Amino acid sequence: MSDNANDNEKKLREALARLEASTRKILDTRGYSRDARSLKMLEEMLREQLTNGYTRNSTRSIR
Amino acid sequence: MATLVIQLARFGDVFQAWPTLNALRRSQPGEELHLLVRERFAEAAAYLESMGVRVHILPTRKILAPFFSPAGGEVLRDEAAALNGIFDFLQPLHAVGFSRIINLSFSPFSSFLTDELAGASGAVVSGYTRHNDGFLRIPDDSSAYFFAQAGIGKWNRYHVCDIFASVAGVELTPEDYSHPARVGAKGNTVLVHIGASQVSKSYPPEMWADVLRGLVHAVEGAIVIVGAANERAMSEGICSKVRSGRILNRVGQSSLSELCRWVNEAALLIGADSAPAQIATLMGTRVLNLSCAAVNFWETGPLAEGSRILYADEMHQISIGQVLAEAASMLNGGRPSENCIVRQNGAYQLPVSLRDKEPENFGWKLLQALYTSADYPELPAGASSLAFHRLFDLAELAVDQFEQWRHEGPSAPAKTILESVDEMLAGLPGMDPLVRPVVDWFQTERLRLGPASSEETLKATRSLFEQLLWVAAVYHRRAEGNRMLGRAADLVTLCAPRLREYDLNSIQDSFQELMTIASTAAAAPTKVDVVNPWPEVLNRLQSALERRDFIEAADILEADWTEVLNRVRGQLSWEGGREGDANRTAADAN
Repeated sequence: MSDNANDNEKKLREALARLEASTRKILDTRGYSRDARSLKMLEEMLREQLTNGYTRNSTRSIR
Repeated sequence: MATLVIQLARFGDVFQAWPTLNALRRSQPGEELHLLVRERFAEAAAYLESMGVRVHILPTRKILAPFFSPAGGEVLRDEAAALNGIFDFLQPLHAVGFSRIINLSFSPFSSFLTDELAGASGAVVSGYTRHNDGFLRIPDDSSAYFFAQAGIGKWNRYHVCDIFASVAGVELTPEDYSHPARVGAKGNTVLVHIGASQVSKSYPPEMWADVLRGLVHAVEGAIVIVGAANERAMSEGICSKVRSGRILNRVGQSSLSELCRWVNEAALLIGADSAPAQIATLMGTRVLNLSCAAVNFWETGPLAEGSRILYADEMHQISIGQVLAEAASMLNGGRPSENCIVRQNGAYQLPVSLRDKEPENFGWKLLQALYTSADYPELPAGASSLAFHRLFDLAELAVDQFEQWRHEGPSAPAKTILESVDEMLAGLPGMDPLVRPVVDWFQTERLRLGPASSEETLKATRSLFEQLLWVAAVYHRRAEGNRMLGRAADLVTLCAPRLREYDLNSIQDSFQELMTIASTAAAAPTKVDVVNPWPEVLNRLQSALERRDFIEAADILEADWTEVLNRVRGQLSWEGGREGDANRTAADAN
């Protein structure tokens, strides 16, 4: 993996960790609101980039 | 009225959704049809627009750009900018006001997106979305089937094209498998796709070189190698080993429209399970598909009539000779080899080596029994029914706990037992994969229970455990019945000679056990169209015993009973289980 790719992955992992914390906070305080949904969307979008996995089945692990 | 189809999976999946798009256009004339795809599929927009489909692109790079900017790292600012990107993307979609959303992506991101769009417009949804508490919601049975039973290592045999159509609620016709670029006749070019989405799905590069060397001698036309840009280096390595002016390396150099045109004109495509093979399905181009256990050819194999599949557990086990012989046979109109899977008359025709393969056959029949009105299959020869007994015991235990809960209210022990049941259920497929379809079906149906009051949730969960009990009972009762019938045969052999000698004392316990088995069998309900033979023969035996005619009793045991014992195997309810009931219950649930 090139330095650039490594750097991008690092940035994404950090962003994902921050988003997870933000989402958890909102879910705990306000429940599943529209804000939480938007953050979850962003969070899952980032996760798809990181795993580069087959998105078709990946829902299985999140419940 | 506008329908949105969301397909954010891989390239190949978009092509596999194509027949569903055609069917939707056909079945909803006059309604707007929209499709949301990823950026890399934007090139296909022209084709789709020509079909009357409005294409929307998910701008992933733009939305995530703030996280990569040199000035990035400011937490709130990056998130806010990315969220603004999402809102900008959503705005025109919200403006359409979809009446129906069909999510064919089966991914977490798409489920939140579907929830967002449907929440705003009140659209009817099929495919993954979210409950109002944020948990995954699977509103339709077809998506639930996919969630539970599709994928590598599972026993699904429904093709993804058919599952997509089922999620969308449309019936596919042969005409739906078409693409705007499907014009004109086939040429004599052979396309070779050397790559696949994963290494485990790919044929080894050194073997491709030998295949290409052989193809140069076997075919008359050009041999065009196709693939994605990241397969360029591999293709150059392969081509450096094979010198021929007829081999054209186009890997990473073709546009999507060029690829479609080449696939359309080709006499044959050789390759693994990947997007070009899915395009071939739409172009009616035959494929020689190299497949292995890392993919499920039933789900994603080529559908063009006359296509063939060479299958081995691992790719390298498919010999170069096999590939060359099959390719030559396909080009020359020859018959498939005996180990080849052939797409014929709209179905995969299996070779003898795969036709009766277990546990695959059992697994597929079990899926059909769970989700359709098919009969439950016999366990494969030699397979243990122990895991099904455990399943039965766990379901029974859970139902008992719910019953107690209903009468006595919630209790800590009941809660602990139910948690243990959940844990042990999850571990059962590890003990025996044969029960996996049932456990996956059950757990998916549980997951589908929406947010509700404690009482409603309790009632719905109990109902699901009762359904699980019926399904498990099929195999629980069957094994128990077989064991009892075997024991009865042994007891007849023991008791009949003694009866002829009027020696009832030495067989008293054995005879009593025999009568108990017969009485149980006589009381057991039978399948609807089968008369239970036990009451009649039991009455005759009792009559003989009352008259102390032990010779006649022995005759009845040795002749009539033995005949009945042989006949009832497979007929009594404990052998067939309460199949009708179990079928109905499972079918109702799905």
